[in-house]
Amino acid sequence: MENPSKLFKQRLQRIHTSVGISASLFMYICVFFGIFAIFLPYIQTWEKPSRHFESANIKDINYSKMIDPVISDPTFPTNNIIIELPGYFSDPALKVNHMFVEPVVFNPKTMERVDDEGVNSQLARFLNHMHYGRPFMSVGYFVFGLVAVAVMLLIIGGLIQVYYLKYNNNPKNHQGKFSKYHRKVFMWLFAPFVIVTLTGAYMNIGYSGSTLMTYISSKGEVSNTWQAVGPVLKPQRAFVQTNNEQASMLPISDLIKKAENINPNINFEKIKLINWKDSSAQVELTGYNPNFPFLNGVYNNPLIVLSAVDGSLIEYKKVLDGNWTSMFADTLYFLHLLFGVDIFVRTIIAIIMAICGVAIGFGVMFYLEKKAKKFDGKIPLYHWFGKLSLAVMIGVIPATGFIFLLQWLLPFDMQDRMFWQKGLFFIAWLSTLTWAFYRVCSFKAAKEFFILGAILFMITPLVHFYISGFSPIELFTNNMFIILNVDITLFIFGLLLLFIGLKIPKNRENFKLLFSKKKDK
Amino acid sequence: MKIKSILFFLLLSLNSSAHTLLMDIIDNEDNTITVVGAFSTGEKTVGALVKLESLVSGEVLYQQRLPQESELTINIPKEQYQVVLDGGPGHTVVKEGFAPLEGFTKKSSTEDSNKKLSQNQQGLLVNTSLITLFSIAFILLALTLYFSARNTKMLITQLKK
Repeated sequence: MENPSKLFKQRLQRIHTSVGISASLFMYICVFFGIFAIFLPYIQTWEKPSRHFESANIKDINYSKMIDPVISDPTFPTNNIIIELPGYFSDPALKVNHMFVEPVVFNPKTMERVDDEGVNSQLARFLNHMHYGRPFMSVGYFVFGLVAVAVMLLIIGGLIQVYYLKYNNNPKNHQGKFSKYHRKVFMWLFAPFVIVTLTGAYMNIGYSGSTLMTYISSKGEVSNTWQAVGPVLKPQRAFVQTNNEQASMLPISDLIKKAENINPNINFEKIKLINWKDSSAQVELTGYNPNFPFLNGVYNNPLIVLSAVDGSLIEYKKVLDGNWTSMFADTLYFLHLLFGVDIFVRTIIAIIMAICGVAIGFGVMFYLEKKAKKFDGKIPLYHWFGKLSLAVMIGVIPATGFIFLLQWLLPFDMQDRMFWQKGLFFIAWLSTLTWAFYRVCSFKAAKEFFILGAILFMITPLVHFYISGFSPIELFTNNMFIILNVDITLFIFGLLLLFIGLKIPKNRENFKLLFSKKKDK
Repeated sequence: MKIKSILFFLLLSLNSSAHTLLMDIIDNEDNTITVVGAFSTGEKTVGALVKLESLVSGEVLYQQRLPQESELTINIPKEQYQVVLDGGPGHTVVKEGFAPLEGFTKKSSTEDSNKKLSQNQQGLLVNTSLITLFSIAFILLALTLYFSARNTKMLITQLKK
């Protein structure tokens, strides 16, 4: 009988390999698009010509001039109108919104209505959807959610392996180095990665996966989890009866100032107008309090309700007034969605995630190198999983560069624009699979994908400058820093890809040398 | 049996997170109908626009947003009509309306009215664009298989040498 300890270690390794290889490509997709999702608010502004204007201070805006004509339209709903203030999710526009109508968008500086691209421009949204499998609908949610669970198993299993097994930390060959990099990165970064995957699993399969639990705990009354938890997480305010008496409203900017006097720490994001122009009119101001990170942002938002007639305080809910369940849910969401987090923290987290993505890549390469060893010196490894990994992990780069370029190449008034943009992205991605199988040498194909991706990412800002009509100097002088920063980031990312593309050797032998250069010296 | 139950709940949960707009029309049998709007989650659709569109002329015969109760009682028109619950872009539910007790005086005739009418908008987009993209995707997949077979054959020959 084999030594039980040896058997346990062997099984640990085998489970790690089989689960890791099954989940690696999905997890890489989550991480890759997650990096773009971290910068979602900025990409969202960059992608729309209608948002190419300078931001305004929310206290200096004449709201009535923009809102009044909209809400006096008889076809527009009269109640529960939501005004999204400039700066909400880095959007410089002011939006007059209602659940059942298309939003009306204004440039708060000029107070002119702008033609929102609506469904024709959803690049950032799509990249975010790719992050959690939404384009593949319910199946995508489940698969990506289960992959997140698998990753937690991999991390825990991996840490146990590091504890039990003796690894060589000074490997001589490239294969050993792949294993070392994969191991070391996750040993250092497992904590943020576990948090992100745990919260990701919660969001993807937490609600839908608890249908059975909801059904049992409600004694068969409801199976829809939101129906059961919604009223607890986000309690609705009581309905405000109209008095049917016309009344003049205080300017919204004055109401914002009053709310700021009540709590100057809240960054107000949305205003709900209730029974507007009636003597019972109220404004509900909600926002985010950065002094209580983790505890507010999604469900547990601080709230100030004022009378729109005289500005008197009707209700004031602080962050800590919320119930613990909504605070707990917000903590989970905060760890994943980074509410109220500035660009520097976002960049650090994006870098951490990028390193984790590369470490997943090293794990896959370690597995493939084991396969390639069998044919060493005879033929190059031509394995379906290697080609698929190449297309999924590296091929996604030029495909993403292409979707960014298409954002400014396709006319904004094109019919089914977003459908074509998404479709061409998938076609481009699929064509990298064809190319990966066409090229016998995967290193050559990887080099081509990197260089192609670099070209696409580098020309995107140039195309953006040309089509939008805004040069980098104009963007800078007009204080459109968000848009300019996205252009600069895309260009730098392109340069980085070009550097990697030029560095990658054309064959496996040179690739091995690349990782053993120092030793040779 | 246990496996079947688990599969049933898994399938149930696949659709449980959907936020679909629903409309119920009740014939009150006094020449009025009651239109009730709701989301599949049970939430009310206060503020959603209810329209009665003539199937004869395509004109809007009645329109009103749903009040706090999320339901409206409306007099049945004399001409054949459809009831539309407009929940904003991409969320429209359309159902044919009940006839009055004495029957419709004007009945739907031809296509000219249909152009003006609202359509159900909760389905998938299936058109020539989709067919084009899928065709390209199939060609690429076929090419992938071809290159895979060709290169594998070449490498096996190389290995045998």
